[in-house]
Amino acid sequence: MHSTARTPSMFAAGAGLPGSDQTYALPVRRTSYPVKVAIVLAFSVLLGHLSWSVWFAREAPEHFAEGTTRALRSPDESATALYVRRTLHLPEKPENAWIQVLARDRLAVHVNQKLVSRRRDDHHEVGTIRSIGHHLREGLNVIAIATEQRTFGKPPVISVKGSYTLSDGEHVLSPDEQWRSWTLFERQNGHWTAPTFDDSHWERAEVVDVELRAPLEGPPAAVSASSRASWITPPISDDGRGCLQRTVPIPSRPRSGWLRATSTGGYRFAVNGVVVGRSEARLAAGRGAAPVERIWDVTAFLDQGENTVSFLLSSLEGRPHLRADLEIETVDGRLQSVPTDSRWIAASGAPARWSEPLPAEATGWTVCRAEPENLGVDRGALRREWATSSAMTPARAMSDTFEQIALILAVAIAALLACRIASRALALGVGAANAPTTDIAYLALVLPTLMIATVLVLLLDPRVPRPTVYHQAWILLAVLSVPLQWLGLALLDRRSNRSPTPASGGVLPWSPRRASFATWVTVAVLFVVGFGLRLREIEREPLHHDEVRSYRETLGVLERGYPSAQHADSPLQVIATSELVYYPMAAVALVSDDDRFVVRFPAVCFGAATILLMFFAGRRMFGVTTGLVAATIQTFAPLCVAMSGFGRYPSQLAFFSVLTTFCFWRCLSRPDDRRALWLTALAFCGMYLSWQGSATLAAGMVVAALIDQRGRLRDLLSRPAVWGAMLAVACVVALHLSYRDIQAAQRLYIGTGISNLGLGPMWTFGDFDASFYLRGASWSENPLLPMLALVGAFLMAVRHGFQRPTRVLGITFAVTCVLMASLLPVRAFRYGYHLVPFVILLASATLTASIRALTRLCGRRGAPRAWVVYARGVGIAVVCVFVALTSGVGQLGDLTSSRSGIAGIAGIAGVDGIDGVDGVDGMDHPDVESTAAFLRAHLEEGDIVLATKPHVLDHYLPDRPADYWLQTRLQNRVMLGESEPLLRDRRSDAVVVSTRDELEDIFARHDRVWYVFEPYSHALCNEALTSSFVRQHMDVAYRGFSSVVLFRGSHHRPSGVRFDDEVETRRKGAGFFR
Amino acid sequence: MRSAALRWVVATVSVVAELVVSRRGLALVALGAAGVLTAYGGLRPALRQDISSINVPLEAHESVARRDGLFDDAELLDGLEPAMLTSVGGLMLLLITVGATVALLDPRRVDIVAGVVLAGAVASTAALCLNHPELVERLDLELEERQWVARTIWQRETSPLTVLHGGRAVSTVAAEGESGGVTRGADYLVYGHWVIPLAGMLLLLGARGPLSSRLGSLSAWGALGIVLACVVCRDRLLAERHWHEAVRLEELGDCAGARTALERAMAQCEPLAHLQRTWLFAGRLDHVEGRSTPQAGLFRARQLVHNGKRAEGRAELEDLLTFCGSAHPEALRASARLMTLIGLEDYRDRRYGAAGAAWTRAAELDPVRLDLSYFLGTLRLDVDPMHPELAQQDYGPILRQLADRRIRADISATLGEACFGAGRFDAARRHFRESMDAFNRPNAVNVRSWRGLAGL
Repeated sequence: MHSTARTPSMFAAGAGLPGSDQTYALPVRRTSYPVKVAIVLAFSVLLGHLSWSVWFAREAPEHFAEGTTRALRSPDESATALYVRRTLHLPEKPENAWIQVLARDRLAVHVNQKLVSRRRDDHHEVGTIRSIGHHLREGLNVIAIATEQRTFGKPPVISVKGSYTLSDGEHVLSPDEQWRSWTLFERQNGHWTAPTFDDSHWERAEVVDVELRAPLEGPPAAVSASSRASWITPPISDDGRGCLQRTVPIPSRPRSGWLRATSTGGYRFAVNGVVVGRSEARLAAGRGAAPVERIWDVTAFLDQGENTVSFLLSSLEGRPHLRADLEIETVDGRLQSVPTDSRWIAASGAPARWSEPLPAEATGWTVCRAEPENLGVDRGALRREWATSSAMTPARAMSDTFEQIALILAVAIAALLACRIASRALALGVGAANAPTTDIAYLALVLPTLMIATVLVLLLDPRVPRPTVYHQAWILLAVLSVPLQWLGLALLDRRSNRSPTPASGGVLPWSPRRASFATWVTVAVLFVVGFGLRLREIEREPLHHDEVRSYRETLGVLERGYPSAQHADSPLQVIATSELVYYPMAAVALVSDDDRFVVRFPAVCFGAATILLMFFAGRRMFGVTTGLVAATIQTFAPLCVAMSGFGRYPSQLAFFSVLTTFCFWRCLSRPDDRRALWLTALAFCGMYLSWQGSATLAAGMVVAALIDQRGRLRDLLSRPAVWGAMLAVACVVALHLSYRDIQAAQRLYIGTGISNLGLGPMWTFGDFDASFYLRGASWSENPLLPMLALVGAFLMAVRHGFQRPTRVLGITFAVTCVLMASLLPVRAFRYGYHLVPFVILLASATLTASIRALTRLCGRRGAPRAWVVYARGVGIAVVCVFVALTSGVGQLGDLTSSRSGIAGIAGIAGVDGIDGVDGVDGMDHPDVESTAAFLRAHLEEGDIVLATKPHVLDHYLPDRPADYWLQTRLQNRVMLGESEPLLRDRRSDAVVVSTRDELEDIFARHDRVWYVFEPYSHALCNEALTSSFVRQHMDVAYRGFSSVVLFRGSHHRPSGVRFDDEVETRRKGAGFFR
Repeated sequence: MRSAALRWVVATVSVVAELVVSRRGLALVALGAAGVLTAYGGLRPALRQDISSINVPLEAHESVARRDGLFDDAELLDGLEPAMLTSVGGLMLLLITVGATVALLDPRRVDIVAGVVLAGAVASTAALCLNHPELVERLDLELEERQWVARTIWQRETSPLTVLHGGRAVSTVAAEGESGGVTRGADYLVYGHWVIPLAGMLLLLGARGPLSSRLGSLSAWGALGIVLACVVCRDRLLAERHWHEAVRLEELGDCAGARTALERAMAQCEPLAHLQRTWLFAGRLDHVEGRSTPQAGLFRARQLVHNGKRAEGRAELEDLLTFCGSAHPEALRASARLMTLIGLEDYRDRRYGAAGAAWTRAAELDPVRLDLSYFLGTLRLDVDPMHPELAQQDYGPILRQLADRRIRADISATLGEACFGAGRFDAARRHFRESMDAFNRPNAVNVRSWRGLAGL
């Protein structure tokens, strides 16, 4: 039906030459067949997966603690950390005890100095539930909990729930006035987690009602419920094995079920014939210490009706005993408890089919005898541990996969048949002459596909529970929406007129003038919204340490006319990298003294201007729709918003890279346009002077030009202007490199710095990753959708109306990514930020192509106007959903809640710390401003100040500069002073403390020493021995966001205390200062 | 005159550029890239140099046939195996060469050439991953060795360059009983498998007609590749099926059935019999059934060592070694691993004599292990710091074969510091320089060597 013209392949000379100035559509005969296949495929895959997950998947359910709960809070509302502790005087060792703790961001629970649980999930709520009975003892005990704020506007709170059982009954643990709180890590009179710690000066914690919802390790009752089971013993065979079994009738569908078991030997157990778990690590090693109670979630293996639980025990030393509790909760809320007792049956050895329900004729099974005693096992000493089911074998995974594929195929066949039937029915409505228009029936699958995709993407957000996503209501809604849409289309067909215009025009059925007006209004709105979003970033965080440097060097522009900085004991430092970044800042500095505004406002302006530029570039390369989509994505992209609030080169660089590409495309599409050529050269120079690493883009551009212009290369290369422009760019690069070398030679640096790095073959290193920048060029935290769009763009580069611009953009992008990964010795996601607009443009083109393909499904001529509007509406819905899902919805929550936008998106892992001072994410901006304010209030004459970033402290405390820079590991370059041979920080003139001996000397000569540091920086720049010394001799005096002040005063810590502290720190496996 | 010369240069450059970006030129460039990726690709061990696919035989039974002196996994690891035409990479290179010739002669056949290369790449990648379970198990063990070495470096050194996780291998250490598993080989692939997307792109871009037909062609060639892969790896795949049946039956307590299925698996793919996981699984069955076999001995020894009963574990191992001698290389490898573990525990408890004895014994049992060279050298430095040249001798094997640049830099820096401490400044300078050459990056400065060189 749809014949296609024979078209050239990519390798054919002259393929994809420009057809018009607006878009470069090849004369390709349209066919809707691939679009229909793609729609049915996407619908069936998503619906099949959802249906399988809802009805057939056997997965352990998630367990959440949620709702309004009473929680502990510090009386100091500005505190960023909260430490609470409660002492318990127990007359005896409890038989059972457990605790459930909920908090935000980070959480650590200690009982009698033992770290019981640690949870970390920045910007989300965290929870834990643990058995603590084996940690408690007769006499004085303490429960100590710490949390740290990592989310704006959400102060630290701790919700506690639990109990301990003594001989006189159960005692409840809850947030009450017995909890004491503090906002600093303390160990003046012992570690704060120690029972003997004197907390009399701690304040009573406030109790407030908060809404918390956090995931737990498993069903809470599995930990909290006391055991009602008896020890039972099966008869054993010669090989020491014996079986136990119990049949459990479950009257209605089980909602959850757990099994808790302990044995004196090895064991494995099965539920309904499936071996779920085993504990046989000591099968040949004999008995060890106290047995452990292991907890399995068996929900996935239970069914309504008769269920069989079977155990196979084995032991080399005597008869094995078992004690187990099984608890089942049904959907109607009924609880069913099945402990081991005399109702279990037993057999010796390992009978065939021991794991399956016994047939009526089974012999050799006898009633099991419950042991009257506790077999000498101290219940209080039993540990309860969460265990993972071993039932997910490769065979089962394969079987699950085949099940899913079968279901997907079934859905696909059903959808295909239904669409064909609907097509015929709809075709009858419009008349036989317009038979092709009936393809619109397939469009009805798009909206449910989008809905399911949205729901599944929401699963990436840990706050969204799986049952909400994997719910049959979504399936019903998706399936029912299809016939409803068909019905609506049929009704619309009867009521509306035939469209007099072809359906393949613009996206919206407006007149050109009206459409043009709407376009410009939309662009203006996007610009305003984007500017507003970015403007908010200026005040969001304190200055990053690089921004502080930028500010100082910007002031140098005002003083000397070029970016520079002057310190007392060093020559004038003239900045020889990213020079162009400082001039816009200097312009802002002329009208404002606000440091954040000075360094960030230009980035905001460039970020907002990039929105406009993306529209122009998209419009010029692909058409108005693509321009609008690209501008929309750029406006709301979380990475672009966050980077626009960072007062360095990325935002400006991204602007120039888009400008360069835009001009470059103009050159390629109009080879005679000299103005475009020189503009390209100028934009490239701007980009290069914004960040020198961006020069790698040139290679991508050259390759793209060669491939794009083949067949006409002689014509291109014979133009003197081309060579002139390239020569001009080469001169700028050469001059700049010479200038940089001259500046670097004027000072004596020690160490290797990023600013003097050169290119090298990175593939000789083991951690070479050629696709690093390719994968990192996503504008969203989860790269799935951007990468899918990139794949779509690649397919368009193979064969589509957008083939030519897609090829130019794609080749430039891919070559640059590979070159950067192969040659740059330093790898960081921000180095590839200027390539993100390439992906946005390519993704926008893919979306535009999708809209057009969907719109074409309603036919070319004679389709009812309502159908055309419907088809375009579906296309717009695709774009809206894509933009929404990639702009942080369901991944980061709302943009405002994330403090560390850049770090969150980049997924940079932090450095673990200890309960006292935890580590931070790599790119989070430490709040040195508040730290400096604290220091200002407490500094005395003769005090000594050390810092990890002395120039930042100097910025906020200009009248009292830092004395020393603690860097005992040569991470950053240091400089030799001019007047005396001292190692100094080139950014602040602070003297470098380069060894632990020097640090000890400072401590010996001064009574009062302050140390202002960021844990992450400290860990990078110092050795473990230095950290150990600082840890042992200083106390936490203040902590803000990722910034801490330590103080060493007259308080001396005896060696015994220091030793104990050190042992304690190491035992907890904490990496404080590591 | 000058203008004519310029014109001639421009014309020449244009012609060359046009040739490169022509249909024929681009196809040849892509096939050339595929050839380079194949020749330099293969498997990447965690510590040693990459194993090129042109050294790895295509089929599993070749590895068995060559066991007696012709082919050895250990020699392959050491880079001593010669290149072979019948290897995975050799056949691929042959395919690519033929394809390049066809593309050169008739550029219209680029799509067919790309399809053939694609199918071949799929099959060869599968063969590399699946047909050499012993080699993959070696790689798994080497990854574990690296992990142990990295941990020891972190415990000893103040500013280590070595990273605990990552390094050359992207994989994580195999879980208990999973080393040499069916999916493990894929974790060690390097470069060669990139030929698959490259050939796919070449096929899509080089074919003619609408996108749907190109995608159909891609799917067809890909399916052919999968069929070829199944044919090439049929023995391993069938054996794994029997293996999983054995595991299932063992879970249900049917030891006899599990044994039968295991024997079927080993008969189907003989190299499977020489894996440690097979030995441990058979040992579990024997132990449960009360049989006294080398496998049961190994199973017992492993459980004893892993449960902290070092002395009993070591005695069990010595019994095992007496029982089976050198008849079972896999038993020697497994014993060496457990001995190394015992030595590490002893070293942690500062029982240097016992640690040294365990490691020396382990080195006798499995001379291929590189971690023992590091442990013995480090131990030497701990007990005899004034004679770093002896430690250097101990470090010899690992330094000769080590490809992990961070670990090499750390070991050289350690030697440099030891030589400096012993007053051998020339040797110290040499070691520090070697360390700097091995690794120094702006964001990961080789501080120890910097400091050492500055001090000198």
